[in-house]
Amino acid sequence: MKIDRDTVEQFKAGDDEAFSRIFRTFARGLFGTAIRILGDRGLSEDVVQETFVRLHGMRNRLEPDRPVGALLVRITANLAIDALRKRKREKWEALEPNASAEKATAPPIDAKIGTVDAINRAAGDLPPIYRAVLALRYGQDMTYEEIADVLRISVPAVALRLKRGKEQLRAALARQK
Amino acid sequence: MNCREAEELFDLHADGGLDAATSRSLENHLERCSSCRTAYDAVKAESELLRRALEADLSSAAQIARIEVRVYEGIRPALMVSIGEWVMAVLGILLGLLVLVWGSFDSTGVREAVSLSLNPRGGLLVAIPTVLVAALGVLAVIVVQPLLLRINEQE
Repeated sequence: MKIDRDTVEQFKAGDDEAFSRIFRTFARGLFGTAIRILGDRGLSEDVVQETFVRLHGMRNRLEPDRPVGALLVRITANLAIDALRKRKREKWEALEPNASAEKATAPPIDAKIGTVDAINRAAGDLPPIYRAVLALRYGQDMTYEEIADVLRISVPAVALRLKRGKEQLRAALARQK
Repeated sequence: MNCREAEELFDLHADGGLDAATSRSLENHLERCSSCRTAYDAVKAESELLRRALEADLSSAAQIARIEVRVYEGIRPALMVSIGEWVMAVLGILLGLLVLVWGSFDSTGVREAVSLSLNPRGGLLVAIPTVLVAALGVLAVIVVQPLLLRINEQE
């Protein structure tokens, strides 16, 4: 999904139709990222709305050569993580990976058990720290460095969470078999 | 690199998280070890499954339409603030000019108004309201704008 330079220029010049095109191009993907991190439809709607309001607010500072999609993903992910941190019932700090945590040993997910629905359901039940890295790595194709930057953690911490998240996902899907 | 060390790197390699040197080293091992190659291919296939699943659209058309409406609702107050700023600035300037013109064209006539404005006391009579109204205009822009923004944020 890409938006061309002309659309960004038109948006910067105040063209509402260009803004609408940007919204229609990215809204669904951003909603997917938000809901996979937050696990809450209402909150995800708030996050996507705020993402586009912020984009509109910074339109004069946009550089047409820099991808708008990457910027939007970044804003959405940051807002979703912040919302998650604020939520009292899910204490982010308490869910930091524990180095001594028991390692799950289920085999890699195969096509037989790894349907789109089954993976999304199982991923939705993971702790938020794992949901976030999985959503950003696979849902938005972000690099380890980009994820580290958004989550404000180190690159090795991203690798560890991704590994643990996949292990838990494998275990959850294996149990469903 | 032995099989155990290689196995530890499968996830990272499949997700593009390995540095170039370690990737090469792992690839060399995978070329020589068929059991590790089979195990790695399974991890790689898993990454593709995860990508396909976690990229899937979870929204409904109604939901996206609702968000779009809310986005425009969120933008409108910001536009109103910026329009409000301009209206107040223009009003301030107009009021200032009005007082200036009114001071020049009162019943004493233009010439007297000019001489009055040149007179230190008469000049003050014209200048004070002008400065006051202009200051009010500037104040309105400085004070009311953050106030409107705060109200907008609270909403």
